[in-house]
Amino acid sequence: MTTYLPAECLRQIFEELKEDKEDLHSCLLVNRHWCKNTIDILWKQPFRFLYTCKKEICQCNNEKAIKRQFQAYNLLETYLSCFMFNEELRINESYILQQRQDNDRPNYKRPIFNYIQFLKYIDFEELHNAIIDWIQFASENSKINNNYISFGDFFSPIWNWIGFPSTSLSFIISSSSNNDDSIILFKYLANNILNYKQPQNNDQLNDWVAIVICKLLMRNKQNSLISISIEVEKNKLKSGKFRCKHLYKDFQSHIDDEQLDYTRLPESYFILPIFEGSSNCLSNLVEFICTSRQRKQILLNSLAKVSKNLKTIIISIEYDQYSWLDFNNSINITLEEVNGLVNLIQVQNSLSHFEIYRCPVGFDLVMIALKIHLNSLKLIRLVEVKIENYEILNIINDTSRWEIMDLDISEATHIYDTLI
Amino acid sequence: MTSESSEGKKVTLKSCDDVEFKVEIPVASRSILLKNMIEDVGETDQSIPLPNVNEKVLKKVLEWCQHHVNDPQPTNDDDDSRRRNTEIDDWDQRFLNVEQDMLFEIILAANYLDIKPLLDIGCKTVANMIKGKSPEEIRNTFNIVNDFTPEEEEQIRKENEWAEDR
Repeated sequence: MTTYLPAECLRQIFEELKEDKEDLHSCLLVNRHWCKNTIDILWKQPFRFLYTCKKEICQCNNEKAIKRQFQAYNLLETYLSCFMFNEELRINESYILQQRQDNDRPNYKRPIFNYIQFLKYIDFEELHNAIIDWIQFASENSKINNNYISFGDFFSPIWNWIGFPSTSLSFIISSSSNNDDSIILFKYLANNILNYKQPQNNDQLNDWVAIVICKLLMRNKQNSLISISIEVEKNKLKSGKFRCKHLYKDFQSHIDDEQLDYTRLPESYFILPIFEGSSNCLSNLVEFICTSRQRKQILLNSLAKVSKNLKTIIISIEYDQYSWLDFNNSINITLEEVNGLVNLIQVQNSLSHFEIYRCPVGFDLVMIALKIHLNSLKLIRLVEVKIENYEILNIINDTSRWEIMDLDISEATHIYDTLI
Repeated sequence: MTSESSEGKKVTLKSCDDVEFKVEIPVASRSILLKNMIEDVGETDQSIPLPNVNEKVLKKVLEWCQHHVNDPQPTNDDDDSRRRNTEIDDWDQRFLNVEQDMLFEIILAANYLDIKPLLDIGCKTVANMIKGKSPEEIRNTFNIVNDFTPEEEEQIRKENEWAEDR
């Protein structure tokens, strides 16, 4: 390059490539200058990159799925090194701990970049799939294969969690996992750093792994997220990208006769904002998407405490019809969720984009809460919302600021047949 | 209002190699830098020196400004959507079909003069040249020297292997 382009121009060129991980990956390896200016763009949304297809009809074959297991392994291995390095920095800063000799401390290679600071977008379904793929790859490539305990088939009240064949989960607590550096690192971080001891039962492992990863993510101060999503039913993503259908492969193999039309994630993801460091990581959050049918009242209320700069909220309010625990209580639970949403809306500084799907009760409370954002709201979308009092819509009629309004007013019956 | 009152009125721009260009104000105002200068200074016979742009490049950039003189001014509020909507039209494609050095000079000048639409299509053109290429092919295309140490390159490759997909 005889004419030297300054970083700001180079960055704009790389921004043009931001949706394509292969092109970004190539730029990364060109030279140091290019590397420094692409690295954060590539690492903004690595989980999305892994589980996104370019074609609407997913053409990922088995080979691709296996390769992706390795990619997820590689990604989490790199992240775990970053977590470990950051923890060592903390330990070195701490006077007391400096004295401590820790013979268990695992060996790892200090990463070139502190990649975790670049992470801006997390979708928890993608994250969780990456975790599954990571552990599966680790267990299948362990030197002592198929030699670990497998209680899973008996102890599996969590059979409807996505993924995690119980055999690969139990690999974590088995001794054969000691062959795998990433698992050793993970266990050290969980047991020795977070003091969050691994459970002895398989049925708690799923939650344990998810909680440890969430805690590690939240502990990193430099990390400032822009968007979190639990977006389980929308295959279509932004700008011609599509959620890989293979994302559901493992999940589907677990349902034989029972018809579950949605996936469940460990509850750990729904308590993310209560973990240490979340006030740092989530205070600049701009986008919150949660169209999951799992209970999200805690998520909404705890998020309201740390995230006050949201511009976009996309949410579905709906009780979980399959949760037999809540069967008699569904209306109250839904109302609690509505209150959580109202709380979240009310603490925001200025909301500009609001979408709500399936709100069977309490919609008028939501509308009243939105009133304080009338000046900043540019788009509101209501889909399958039950409106009991039509006069409440006058709040909308008063303003000319709405760009689109999809009002699909229907009874809140039979609203579960959305695509997965 | 501005365009009517300034119709026919000209401003003189001076390139770094001391060549003067008399340009109609609406044309020069495609550059936000010049637009602001002209608004601040008001009418003047003095030429505006542009120490970062040579004659050849300035001529080329002004050719673009002339062609796009009636385009609506880009809005500042949404960088991302602006860029996404920028399809490079046929005229612009021909305009940017120049030697690589010239392309980079145009990008630099557009950046300096603050002509966002020109900067956008310039960057898009370079991005299109990168698409689908391996690191080695990119280095060859742009004549870039690989200054990684072998160990560094190996480690970067290892830590970013998840993104490799060819």
